[in-house]
Amino acid sequence: MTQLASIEVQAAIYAKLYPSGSFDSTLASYGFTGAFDWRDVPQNQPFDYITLGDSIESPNNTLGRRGYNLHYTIHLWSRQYGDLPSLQAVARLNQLLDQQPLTLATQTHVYTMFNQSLPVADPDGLTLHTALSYMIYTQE
Amino acid sequence: MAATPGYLAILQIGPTPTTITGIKSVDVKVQGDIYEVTALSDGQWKKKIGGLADYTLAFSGNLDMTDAEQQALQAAIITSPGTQVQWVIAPKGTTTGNPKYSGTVLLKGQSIKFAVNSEEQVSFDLEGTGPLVASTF
Repeated sequence: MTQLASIEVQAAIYAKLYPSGSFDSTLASYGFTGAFDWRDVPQNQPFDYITLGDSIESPNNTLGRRGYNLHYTIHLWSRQYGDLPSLQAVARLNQLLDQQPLTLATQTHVYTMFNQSLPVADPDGLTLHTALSYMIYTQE
Repeated sequence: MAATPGYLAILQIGPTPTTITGIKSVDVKVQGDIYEVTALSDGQWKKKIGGLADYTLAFSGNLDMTDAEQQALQAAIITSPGTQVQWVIAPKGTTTGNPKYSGTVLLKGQSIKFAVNSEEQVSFDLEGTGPLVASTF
């Protein structure tokens, strides 16, 4: 969809996490059960899981052509002991996304660059929340 | 008259003006020489007359060497230095009756920036030869 990058980017990242329709086997081997829109996690979804979709989008236009910068965040929610599974998942997501091409429905992908990984202990005392962000630039 | 948003502007290059892609910013600077002609007994205040006029252009934006116009600009300094390049800037687009600036320039410089944390960028510095013409499409 033109005039907004978030929808196409989310679909492209989802396709990376679900190649051939099945959740990425490497992420699954680290104990992650799936990836979901941050506003559409199934009721009682077993931990660990990934949410995506909350991005900050801003224009990066050239004369005559629209472009978009996305500060795209992916969240990891883990209840396994230790932080190793989450760190392994971050590394896997970087393998899939950092400096890798994205196939967008109508727009042109310029780059995806790993920006930050921030682990935070959730106030529930059980969950390790890791917020992983990427800088993404697309053009129409 | 209301202000005009910059995104309406179109920059075109070549004898058959063709839009160049990737450009984010265009600077046009026009300047004229001024000569002082104050004579003895002219009093306290200097007297001046206008002289030769000149202009410069500067474009900058995303590097795109698949774009024929960016290639043409680059060739005009790397391959064939001194090549004259015709240009048109349409502040409000190319609809008939809209204003335009046009002229012929020589490439004075090209700067290319490669940084690991951003898009590749290019800028061109150009100097006019002959008049800068303000007219309409």
